[in-house]
Amino acid sequence: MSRRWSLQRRLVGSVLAVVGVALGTLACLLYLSIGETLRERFDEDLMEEARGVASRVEEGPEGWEVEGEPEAAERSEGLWYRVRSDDGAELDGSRGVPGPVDLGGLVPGTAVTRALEGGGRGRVLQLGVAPRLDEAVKSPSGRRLVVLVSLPTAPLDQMLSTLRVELAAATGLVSLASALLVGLLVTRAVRRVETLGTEIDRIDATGLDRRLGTDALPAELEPAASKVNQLLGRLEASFERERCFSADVAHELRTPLSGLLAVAELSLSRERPATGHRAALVEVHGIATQMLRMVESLLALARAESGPFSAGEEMVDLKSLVDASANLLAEVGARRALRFSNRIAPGTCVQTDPRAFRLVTQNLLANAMTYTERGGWVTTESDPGRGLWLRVADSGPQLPPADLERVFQRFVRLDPARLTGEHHGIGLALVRGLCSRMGASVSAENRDDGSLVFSVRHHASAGIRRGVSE
Amino acid sequence: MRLLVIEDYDPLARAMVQALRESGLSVDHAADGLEGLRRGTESPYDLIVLDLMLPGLDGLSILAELRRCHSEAAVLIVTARDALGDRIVGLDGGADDYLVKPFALEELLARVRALLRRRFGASSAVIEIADLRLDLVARTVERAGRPVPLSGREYALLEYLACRRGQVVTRAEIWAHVFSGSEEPTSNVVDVYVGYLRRKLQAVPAPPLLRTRRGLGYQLGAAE
Repeated sequence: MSRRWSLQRRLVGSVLAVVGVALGTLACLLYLSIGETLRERFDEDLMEEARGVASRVEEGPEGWEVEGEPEAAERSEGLWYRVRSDDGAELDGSRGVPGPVDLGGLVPGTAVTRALEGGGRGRVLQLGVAPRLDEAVKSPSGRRLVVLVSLPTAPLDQMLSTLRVELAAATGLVSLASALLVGLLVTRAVRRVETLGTEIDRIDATGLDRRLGTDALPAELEPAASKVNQLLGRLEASFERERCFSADVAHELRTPLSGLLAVAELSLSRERPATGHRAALVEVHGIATQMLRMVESLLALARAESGPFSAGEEMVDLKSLVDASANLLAEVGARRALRFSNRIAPGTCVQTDPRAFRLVTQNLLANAMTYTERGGWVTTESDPGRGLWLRVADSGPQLPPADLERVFQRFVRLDPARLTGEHHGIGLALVRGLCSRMGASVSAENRDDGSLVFSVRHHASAGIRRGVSE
Repeated sequence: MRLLVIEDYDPLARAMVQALRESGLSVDHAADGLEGLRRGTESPYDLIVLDLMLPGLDGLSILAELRRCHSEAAVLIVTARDALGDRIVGLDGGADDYLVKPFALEELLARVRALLRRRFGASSAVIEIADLRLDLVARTVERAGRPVPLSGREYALLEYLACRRGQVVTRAEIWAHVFSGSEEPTSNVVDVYVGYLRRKLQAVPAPPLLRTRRGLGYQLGAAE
C-alpha cells in the first residue's frame, strides 16, 4: 500500500522552506551590509594611520626632519608603513613588521587588499600628502610626501566570520521554531479531523439520530461537518420511513394471517361434514389470494419506486381498460348500491406501459368504489388531447384539504379502519409511483359540487389516437 | 352468555363467531365501529370482542363510549397492534384483556371463558350447586353424580343461571344473555327452554333446583 501524503508534513515542510529562504536572504543582506560598513571603517582607520605617519616628517630649513620611532602603544598592531619623498628617497618606515608582497598598481587614496609577507592579507593604502613645515621655513619648497601604509585584515575577517556563524544559527533556529509551531497547530487541527472520523465511525443504522459536534470545529471544517449532518438527517428520515414501512407490512399481514389460522383451527377443531371443511378451504383460498394481491402490490410499489416498471409501451384502449377494471369491482359496487358510468369515448387510446396503467386504473376505481358513500355515483372520463389520461370522480365524501396530498403516502388511511381486499393503504401510493414511472402525475381534488376527483395527467400527452376499436 | 364480536375483517370475524357459537355462546357480529357501538350500547352483552382498527369509529373510541355509558360487558381487545404502549392504552381505557393477532383460536376461547367467569365472580371453572356440578371448560353437567345430557341452548341457559346462582333472573335477562340478538323474541321461548331444562335436571330423584318465582322470573339454587 502506498503511503498517503500527510497534510501535517506538507505544511511543516512548506513553512520550513519559506521561512528558511526568507530568513537566509535577510541574513545574507545583513551580512553584506555589515561587512561593507566594517571595511569602510577599517579603511578610514588606515587613512588616519597614513596621515599620522606623514605628520612625523616635516620640512625644515635643512631638509626633511623625521621624529623618533613612535611608541608601540601609539601604533596599531601590525601597522606597516613607509614615507618617501617625491623623488623616491625613503624617509621613514616601520621595522620588523611584515609588509605587502606587492606594491605595484596602487592608486593614491584608495585602499586595496594584498597578500602580506609571512602570510595573511592586509589592506594597503598609498597617500600623497603635503609635509608639515617647520616654523623656520620661510618659503616652502612645494615638495610632497608619498606615504604607504598596510594593516592586516585578520581581526576584520575574524569579526565577519563570527557574524556569519551567528546569522546562520539565528536563521536556522527561527526556521525550526516556526516549523515546530506550525506543526503543533496543524496537529491540533488534524486531531479535530481525527475526532470527526471517530464520531462518524460510531454512527451506524441504529444511531442515525447522532450528529457531529460543530461548535469546536475550525471554520474550514464546519461546512463539511454540516453537510455530513444534513446527510445523516436524510438517512435517518429514510431509515425511519423504511422501518415504518416494514412495521406496517408486518402489521397489515397479521390480520389476514389471523383469519387464516382461525379458519384452519376452527375447521380442525371437531369432526365436520365435508361441506364444512370445503367452506373453510374456500375461505382459506380467498384469504391467501388476498394476501398474494397485497404482496404483489407491495412488490409493484417497490419496483415503481426503485426502477423502471416495464420496458415496453403500447397503445392502450382506455374505455376497454376501464370497463374491464369496473367489471372486477361490479360486486362491490352492487353491494354498496353505487351507480357507475364510464364516459370515456370508444377508441380513446394512449401510448404507455399497459401493465402499469391497468394497475393505476384498478386502484383508482377500487378506491372510489370502497369510499364513496352508499347509493352514490362513480364516473370515469378521459381527454388525452389535453393531457388528461384518466379522471375518476365520485359523489364523495370529500377529503379534508390537508389530506388531499397525504392520501398518496404508503399505509396512510384516513379511516382508522384496516381495509380489506384490495384496500390495504398502499393502493394510492402505488398509483403515484406508477404514474411517476409513466411520466404522468396524479392528484386529488374536492369539487364545489361535493364530488371528489382523482386525475391522472400526462406531461407530454403523447400518443393520442381515436377510433382504434371502433 | 351473550357476546358481541366487533371485527371488520370478514373471514376472521366469521371464524371467531362460529368458534364462539360452537362453544355454546350466543354471539352477534358488527362489521364496523358505528354498528358495533350501537349494538354494544343497546344490548346488555356479557363480553365484547373488540378490534381496534375499524371503519367508522376506532375501537378505543368505542371502548371509551361503552365505559362512559357504564356498560358492564367485559371487553377483550383483539388487534394487530402489539406495541407495549398500545396494550397499556387499551387496558387503561377499560379493556379487561388484550390479545394480539395472530392468535390461536383456543386461546381466544380460553380467555373468553376466563373473562366470563370473572364477570360473574366465579374463580373456578367448576360450579357446584347442591348436587349439581357444572364444568365450564368441559361443558358437562352432572346431577347427583350422574351425567345430564343437554342441548347447546339448554346448557347455555343453565350456565347463565348457574353463574347467577341464587339470584332471580328475569325472562328478559335470559332472553338478552342466552338468545342471540339475531333471533326474533317470542313470548314463551324462554319458558319452553326452562321447561326442557327442568325436566332433564329432575330426571333423577332429587330436590328441585330450578324454581319459578311467579311474576319475577327463575332462580337456580338457594340465595347464598
